[in-house]
Amino acid sequence: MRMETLQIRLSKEQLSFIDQKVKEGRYPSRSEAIRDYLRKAQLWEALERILELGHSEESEEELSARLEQIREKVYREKYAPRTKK
Amino acid sequence: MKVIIDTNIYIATMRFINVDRMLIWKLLEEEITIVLTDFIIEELRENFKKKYKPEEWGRALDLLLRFLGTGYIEVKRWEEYSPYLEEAKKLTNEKDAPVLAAAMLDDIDYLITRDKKAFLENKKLKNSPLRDKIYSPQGFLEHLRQTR
Repeated sequence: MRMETLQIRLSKEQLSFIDQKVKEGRYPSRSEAIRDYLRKAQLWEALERILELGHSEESEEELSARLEQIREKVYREKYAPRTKK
Repeated sequence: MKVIIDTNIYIATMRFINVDRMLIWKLLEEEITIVLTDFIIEELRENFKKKYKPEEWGRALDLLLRFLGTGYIEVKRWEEYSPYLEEAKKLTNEKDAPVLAAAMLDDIDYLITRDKKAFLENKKLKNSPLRDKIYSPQGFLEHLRQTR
């Protein structure tokens, strides 16, 4: 992929955070570290959009009840039979 | 450090900007391993199928797993944690036992959940050594602040 060069200003803290990641060996360079954090941010934004599509106004109690029903269903249908083997 | 996040937390991230989203960000930022189990993935699939249109649920689940995959993740399979199932059933409801059984594995440090009845306020668990492994999202963030 063709890369563009960009000059950016970061605070001391931000730069030391990036440098620490490079020092730990997590990234080969500052550029790679920044690119990876950008990738995460892009993915998070896409995820946030789709999570909001699934948002509903159900109360905490309604949500708990729904989750319990689904857990019961998954356990009964797919996992409980395995315990009998 | 390895942490199991209960299904209810992933689902709660759909509600709004909240502690559950903060928790996931924090785990990624601190490079803590998020442990999924086949049971939790199956539950997520069922939940997403109910919440989204047929053409959307697969993409939503894929995005969530890809996002988690930008950090460290590990998947525990039924064969690994089912030996602890009987013990787990003595401490919580049968349907919640697969999650507790996975948390009983030696290499799991914490189980983070919103479920009060099955885990957080469960008296049997409060009297067991597992109590030190189980946190609410808020409680775990506080625990991290104090210990890191």
